[in-house]
Amino acid sequence: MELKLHASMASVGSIPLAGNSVVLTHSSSSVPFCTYAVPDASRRRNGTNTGRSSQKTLPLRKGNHPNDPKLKLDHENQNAPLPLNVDLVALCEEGKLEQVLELMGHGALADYRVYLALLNLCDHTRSLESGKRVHEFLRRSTFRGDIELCNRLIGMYCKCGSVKDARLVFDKMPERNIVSWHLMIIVPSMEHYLEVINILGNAGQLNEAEEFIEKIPVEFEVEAWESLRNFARIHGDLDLEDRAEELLTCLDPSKAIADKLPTPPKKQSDINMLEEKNRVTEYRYSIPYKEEAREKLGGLSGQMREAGYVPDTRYVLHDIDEEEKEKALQYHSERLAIAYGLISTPPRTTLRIIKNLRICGDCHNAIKIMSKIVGRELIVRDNKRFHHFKDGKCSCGDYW
Amino acid sequence: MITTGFIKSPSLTTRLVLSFISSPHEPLVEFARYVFFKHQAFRDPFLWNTVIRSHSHGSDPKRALIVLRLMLEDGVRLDEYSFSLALKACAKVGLVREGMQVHGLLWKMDFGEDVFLRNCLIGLFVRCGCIELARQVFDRMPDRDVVSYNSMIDGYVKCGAVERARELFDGMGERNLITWNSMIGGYVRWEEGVRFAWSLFVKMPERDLVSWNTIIDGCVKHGKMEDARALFDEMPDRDSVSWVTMIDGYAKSGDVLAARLLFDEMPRRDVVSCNSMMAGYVQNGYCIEALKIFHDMRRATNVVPDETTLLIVLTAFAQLGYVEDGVVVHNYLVEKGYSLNGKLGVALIDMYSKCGSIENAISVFESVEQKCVDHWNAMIGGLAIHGMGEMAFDFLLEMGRLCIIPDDITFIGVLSACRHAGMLKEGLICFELMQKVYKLEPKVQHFGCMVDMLSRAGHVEEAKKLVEEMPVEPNDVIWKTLLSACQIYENFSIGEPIAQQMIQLYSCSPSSYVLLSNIYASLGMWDNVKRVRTEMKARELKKIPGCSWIELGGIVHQFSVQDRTHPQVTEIYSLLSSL
Repeated sequence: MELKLHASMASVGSIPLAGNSVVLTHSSSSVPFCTYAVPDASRRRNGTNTGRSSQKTLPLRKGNHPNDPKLKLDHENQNAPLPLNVDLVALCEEGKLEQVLELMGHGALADYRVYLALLNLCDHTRSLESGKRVHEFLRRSTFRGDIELCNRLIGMYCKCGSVKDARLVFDKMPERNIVSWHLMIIVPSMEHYLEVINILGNAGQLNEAEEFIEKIPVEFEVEAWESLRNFARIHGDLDLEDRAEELLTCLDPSKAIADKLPTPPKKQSDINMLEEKNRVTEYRYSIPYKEEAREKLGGLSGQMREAGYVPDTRYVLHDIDEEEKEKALQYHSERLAIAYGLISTPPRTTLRIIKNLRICGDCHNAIKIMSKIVGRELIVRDNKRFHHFKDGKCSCGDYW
Repeated sequence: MITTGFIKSPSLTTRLVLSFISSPHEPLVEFARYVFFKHQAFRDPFLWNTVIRSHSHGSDPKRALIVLRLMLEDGVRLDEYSFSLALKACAKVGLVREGMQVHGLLWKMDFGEDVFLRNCLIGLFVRCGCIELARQVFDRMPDRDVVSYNSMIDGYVKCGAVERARELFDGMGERNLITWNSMIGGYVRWEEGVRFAWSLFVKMPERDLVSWNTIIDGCVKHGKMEDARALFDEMPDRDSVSWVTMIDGYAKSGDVLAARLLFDEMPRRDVVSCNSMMAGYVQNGYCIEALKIFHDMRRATNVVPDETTLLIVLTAFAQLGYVEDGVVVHNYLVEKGYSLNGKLGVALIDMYSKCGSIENAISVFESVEQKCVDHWNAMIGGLAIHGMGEMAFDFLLEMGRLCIIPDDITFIGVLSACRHAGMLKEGLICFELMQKVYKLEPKVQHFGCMVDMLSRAGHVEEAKKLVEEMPVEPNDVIWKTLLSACQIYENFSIGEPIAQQMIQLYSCSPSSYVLLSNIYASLGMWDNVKRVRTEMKARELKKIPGCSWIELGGIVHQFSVQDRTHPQVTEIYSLLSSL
């Protein structure tokens, strides 16, 4: 009867004091009850807490399950990039090309070593299709301009028999080295050999250039030695210049003789009879100096501004904006002639330019600065007088 | 003959003298004279006359008079040939006073009435420019022959008195070919006279090569090239003079193509025709074509370049700036032993100066042993265009110390040097010096230098005042100089009226319009700029475009503003863009 009373009191709940008393009296029987009550209360208060509750639950359940340690290990592996990358390299080494490409297609990140391994594998298997897929991945990666990788790509395409694809890679390379050119010379032409010589010559590697020439086909020797002779002249290697000259004389006497003819006869074939007053239409194209011009281009870039040159647009007497005025000043005839002289003659050569009109003030100022930058004496004769530009100064003392 | 004693034999010595005295080798002539004077027994006037002739036709005609005097002292009889040879010697070197003395002597010796000698006197006075004295002799001749008339006509023609020549011509009873040719030659000297020359030409009973060449030369000189060509085509025979006259005429008229066509048609070219063609090319700016002819001459076996050829070549090199080729010619001159004391030295100095090698110009100048004023002028002019004003001024002072009298060209050079160097004070001194010390009247070129000098220094008002006070009429160059200064110093009030005036005066000159347009542009007056340029366009006037060239490896590369025709245009423009 007494037990019935306790139960009845709990269900009623109207007597606070009696309830508290009951809890204190019957602690052993109330513990399970209270534990059950807590989940219910959480569920009722906030349904979103179910997930959180679940998170909390899982560890507890896992603590009771024998497989918990294994799951933890799986998660750690998934979050570790290095193990996966190592796997790609290993897969390549195992020859599993398709598997690696598939993984990369699913987002597996490949580093430099992976691409090296892939290209080596493609080179070995000579699979053009796979090679193109690698090329596509490489093109979209941060390593797309790398010389080494591009060279390997070229080599791979060549071995797969796709010269066209190899050429496409070669043409888009931002930088090339000697290996690049070597790889591309499958059916070599004069241009390729001369370009190699130009690269070596411009870098001052004349010995290497000479060694290269000794290995090229005989039919290209004349032009090659001529080019090397020009570079020897530029770099002041008199012995090499003489040796090249001697070889040229042996290989092609007419070319050597032509170079030694006195000046007057050369003009005879250049005269344009009465068509244009003293205008000579024949030009001499100089391959060695072309590359030197590029170096001059880089060397002079911005130097005039740094030296204090500011275009004086007062001399442009047209109603145009300042930018157009500066552009108009930039290509006056005397500047064009000087530019041509700079790209066509060895360093420190004095240039003599003649102009039919009076030189403008802006060109006068610009040429002074140019003479200092390029380290040459620039002599300009206009229709009034001579101006000797040297070391940033002019003989007229700026009074003209 | 000397060792054997035969030198004393009169007959043998006479033969020796007669044989050697007319030799073209001067040493033999000298030996003949030595033998003659060594042998004191010669009394034959003939032998004496041969000695006189050797001098009168030689390099020192004055010695002929000395021999004549010796004849008188030795009592040898003078004959008419003695006097005629003496008079020719006087005529050759312009010895008027001595000629008059000979005239007096022949009268005393009763040769005054000799027609031949009187004709010689007329020739002497004509040649010395004493036309009135010649006329006096002519008028006092009781018997005149055609030579007398021809000499007088020639004299009047040469001093420009064509009408008086015509009076004599019309008064002649009988004329010969020389008479007609002289008269025609007189008329063709002036433009209005060409038609008179033509009327005489068609009346000539006979004509020779000189006749044709004379009338053609007259047409050429006065720009009547079509008439000249028509006559040239009608000539029965032509010589080198005929061809050269036509070539020179076409070249001077600017038609170098026609000149070249004639040159190519010449059956046999000589150095004169080649020089003429080359000079024509250079004068018209076709220097390279001139050099091509030079190279052809060098390859030819029958035409040898002479000094004139080399002068033209050096001028071409100077204009083109071909210093390397100039050096080649210089070496050639040295190798062949040419003297630089004359025009060649002047040309070399000028060439080096204009090719930008002032050091070489100075070196050549210093190497000239006998410098004339032309050498100094060339050097001073070279220093001027190189901005070496102080040195040019010092050279003028040096000329004074060496008693070399400067001429007007000297002062053009010095003043030009001062203006390029900004030496206004020295320039003013020179301008005063030339007038007060050297008594030289300033020409328009001198005033041009002064105007430019003042203008450059910013003294535009003073420059304008000088122009207004010039005793000679200012030319377009002076006005342009002043106008340029107005543009530089933005002096619109002075420049604008001048420009407008120039357009009125030189309406066919584009530079006047350009300068006016530039003045407006510098002041931002774009509407006026547009108006002026529109007017230029309406008159079909074009501004001379800027053009520069550089010679590399024997090839000339020419560029105009924003030129993109060169095969290496990419590199050229990339280099300039990088700046």
